[in-house]
Formats: sequence, C-alpha cells, structure tokens
Amino acid sequence: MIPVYAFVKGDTLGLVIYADDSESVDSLAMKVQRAATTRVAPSSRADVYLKGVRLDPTAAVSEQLGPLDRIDVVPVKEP
Amino acid sequence: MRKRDEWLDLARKLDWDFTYVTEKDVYPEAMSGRPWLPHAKWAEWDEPYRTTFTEYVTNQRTKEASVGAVREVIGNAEDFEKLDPSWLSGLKLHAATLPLAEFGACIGNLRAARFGRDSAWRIMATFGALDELRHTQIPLLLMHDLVAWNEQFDWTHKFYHTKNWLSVATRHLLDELLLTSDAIEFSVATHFVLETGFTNLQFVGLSSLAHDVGDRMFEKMVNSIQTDEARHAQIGPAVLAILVQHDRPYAQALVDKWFWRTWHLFAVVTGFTMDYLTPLAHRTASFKEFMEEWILDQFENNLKRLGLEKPWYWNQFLEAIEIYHHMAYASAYTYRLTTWFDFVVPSPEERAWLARKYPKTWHLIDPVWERIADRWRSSGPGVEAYSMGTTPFALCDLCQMTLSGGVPIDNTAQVIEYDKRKYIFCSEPCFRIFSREPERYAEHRSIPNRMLAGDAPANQLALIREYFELGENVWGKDIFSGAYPWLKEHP
Repeated sequence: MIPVYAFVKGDTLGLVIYADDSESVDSLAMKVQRAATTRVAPSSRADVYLKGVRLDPTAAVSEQLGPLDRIDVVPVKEP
Repeated sequence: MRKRDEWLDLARKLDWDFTYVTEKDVYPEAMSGRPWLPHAKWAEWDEPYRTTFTEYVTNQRTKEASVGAVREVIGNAEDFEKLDPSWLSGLKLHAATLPLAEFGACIGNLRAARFGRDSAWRIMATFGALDELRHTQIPLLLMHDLVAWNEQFDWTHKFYHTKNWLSVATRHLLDELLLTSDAIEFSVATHFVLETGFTNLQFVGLSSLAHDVGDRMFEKMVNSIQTDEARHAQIGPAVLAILVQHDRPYAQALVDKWFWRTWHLFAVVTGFTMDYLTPLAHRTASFKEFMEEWILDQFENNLKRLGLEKPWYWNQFLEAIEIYHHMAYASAYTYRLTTWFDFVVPSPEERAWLARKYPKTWHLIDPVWERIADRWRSSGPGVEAYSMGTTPFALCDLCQMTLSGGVPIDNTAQVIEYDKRKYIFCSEPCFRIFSREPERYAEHRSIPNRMLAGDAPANQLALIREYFELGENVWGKDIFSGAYPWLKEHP
C-alpha cells in the first residue's frame, strides 16, 4: 500500500488515499474520485498529475508514486 | 490625602536593584524572553488603563453581579430551546473552544506576572490572569446548565481533553501560544496579535450578533468578557513598542508568525458562525465584511504606529478572507461526524446572499453545495451517510487543520522533505513558520500520520468513536437531517 495525498480539482480539502502497489494510475484516479464524490461529481475519466506532470494512466502506481506524494486528480469533462 | 495619580506609580512601579542575585537570575531569558535587556530599558513600560487593585475588584464585582442576574432570568435550558438551532450549533462551537483556552491564557498571564520585565507589566498580567480565570469559569458555569438538555454542550469542558482532530489542531496552537512561550512572545502573540488583532473586536461583533438573534445570555457573557480583554490586551502594544526599539526583525517575525497561526482558528470559529450558523434574517454583515471593517484597518494602523510592516503574506491573507472558511466549512460539513456540533446546508437564498458577499470566489464553492444538495435529494431525509465523506482527510503538519488553502481549482498544499521525513502544509505561511523553527514542530505527528503508524484507528467509525470520543448522541449531524423544503422546490 502506498499512502498519498490526493486533491480532486473542485474539491475543498485534501484526502489520504491508500493506493495498491499494483493498481494502475487510472484505477487510482477513479478511487480518488469516489472518495470525493460527496463534494465533486465524478467523471468517467480523470487525469493524475504529480508535480505538474501528467502520469501515464496505464502505468502502475508503484512505478510513479512514493509514499506521501501529493497528486492532483483532474476529472475530464464529459461531452 | 494624596490623589490617585499622585500615589498610583508608587504602587505600580515596584522595581528595585537586586543585591544577592543578578537580574538575569531573576529574569532568565528562557522565561522572560529575548532580547534580554536590563530593566532600565523596560522602565518606561506603560499602558493606558493604569488600574488599581481596588478599582479592579470593584469593577469585576459589578460585572459578575450583572452576569449572575442575567443568568438567573434567562440562563435555563428552556431559554436556549427557543433559539434557532443553527445559532445553537455555533454556540456549541464557541463554548468548546473558549473556556479552557482562557484557562491557558490565565497560565500565560501568570508566567508574565512572574517574568514580565517591568512591575507595571507584571501587575497588569496579574489582573489579566484573574480576568482569564473568570473567562474560564463563566462559560463553564453557563454551559454546564445545558448539558442535561443537550449532551453536545458537555464538550464545553471535554473538548481540550480529547484527541479529536479539531482539539489537536487547537491545542497545537494554544499549547505553544499560552503554555510554553516566554513572557515577551506570549504578550506579543496573545495580547497584541490574538486579542488586540482578533478577539477583542470579535467579541464586540459577536455580542451584537447575539443580541440580534435574541441570545441575551451569550450577548451578556461575551460583552462582559470583552471589557476585560480591552484592558489586558493593552499589555501587548506596550511590550511590542519596547521590543521594536531593540530588535525590530524579531518583533516583525513574532507578529508574522502569530497572525497566521491564530487566523486559521479564528476563521473557523467566527467564519462558520457568521456566514453559516447565524440565521440569514439576522446576518448584518458577512465574515469578510466584518474582517474588513473591524479587523484589518485597526490592525494595519497598530502595526504602522509601532513601526512594523504588514506580514509578508498579507496579499495571501486577503485572498484567504474570501474563501478559506468556506473551504473549511464545506469540508467539515461532509465530515460532520468528526465534530461535536451540527451543520446546516445553505439554502438557495443563503447561497445567493453568499454569492453577493463573495463575488470573487463563491462561484468556486457553490458547485460543492449543489453536489451536496443533489446527494440529499437522491437519498431523501435522514440518510446522513450519503452526504458524508468516509475516506480519511489530510491535515496540515503545522496548523493541523484540513488542507483547505487556496481555491477548489488550485489547492495551495505542498509536500516538503525535512530530515528524511515528508511533511505536508496547507499554505506557504504554514510551511515557512515550520521552516523557521523545525525543531519545535517536526516531532509532532498529525492524526493521519498516527493512523499510518497504527497509533490511531484507520477505520473511520472506530476513529470517531474511540479516538475522537464521539458517540452517536454527540457527533455532528445535519441540523435538519436533510429535510429541507427547498430541496423539492429547487430540483
């Protein structure tokens, strides 16, 4: 498990999310959106940024993130 | 017989030269504060009230009798039952954060009464300690009458004795401010920044608001406390004026640090009450208008008069007035189970009022309330869980409050590595305060850090029940259980 600080665009606070080592960045994005769903409507797609750089959605979380990194999750507007 | 002004300084200025010990032994820097200066540099210390002990006792006796008389008439639970439930929730928030903070201030004043560098300062600090003891006892007494009626009022005394996250945040601030700082830092931070800067005028505003709402008991209590604060707060400018003469950069650093430290708590307690928990019909001004009218001008003028600059983050602070408490309230609403007071969803009329009062930022917050209202529409009344967050929220490693800095589309939190450990801060000022004295703050572990280390339950319900000590009768709820008539009228 990798705990990260997650911020959903449009939300009012940061969350502590436990990411599974093997899950993909895209899966983590969905997990974070679900965690913020009472305040921000989730989208079917969301990008994840680390220090301003968009992460590959197919990459494994363990390759991209370390414990207590800050990630920003930006829901992609649906047409 | 001599007139008052002829003998007063004989009683107030009681300093003498030590012969068996040195002045530094009597007033060590660790307790008295820095810069350490010989008493000659403090000898001109003075404040405008120049109260005698007789006057103090006479005035306080009158004030006590007045509070007691009001309590006799309208201090019963039946009198409080008539008040708007939202206002009562704000009262619970104030009641919990106030009295034991005042007790901490009593201890701080007693330290200054021993280690303050001039006798007139020490005498004023003695009165200050007596004041603060009174400010501890009055709310404890008044709110104790309400505990049997509503268990949430039990947190008036319990709050600071728990590991509730808001209690940890408040203690992180007040333990440093009131219990551990030396006499100079205590006086600058408490009397000049917190009291002269914030609470003295806050009490004036709150008293007026309580009057409008019909809460005569709270009005009387706050009014009575404020008249004490106005007097002992004068210690602050008097200490700061001498500090500025001898170490201006340090004086500026203290003001910068403590203004930001105290602002966060002030924004939560006062911002929640003014913009959300006061019924719309009784709101005379927004929190932002109150800050602009009552706080900013006089604080800026005080700084100017003392030859100090506005804190380096002043522009950030002005931006925060527009939104910080809105970010914090929406966050706390969805984690209301973690508090001891209740919350309300702003109605369409209230949201329109907030949009008028906060034209620069409300459009960024409003979608969050639209989302929460939608959740209540979907679930129907009574289903609290559907508008609640269940994932742990992160907290700032300095202020211990939620990471609610900046705006919803651009949160200002930043992760920093120090001594091989990662820390997160809600804002640049919190980071810089930490960086200036890391040895003071680095060992403290936030609630999320305790959870990660296995020292606090990771399970949300266990965390709330066992660690935060909140049972079902006490934890925060939606005041109307989601049964808002406007939810149907505004689909």
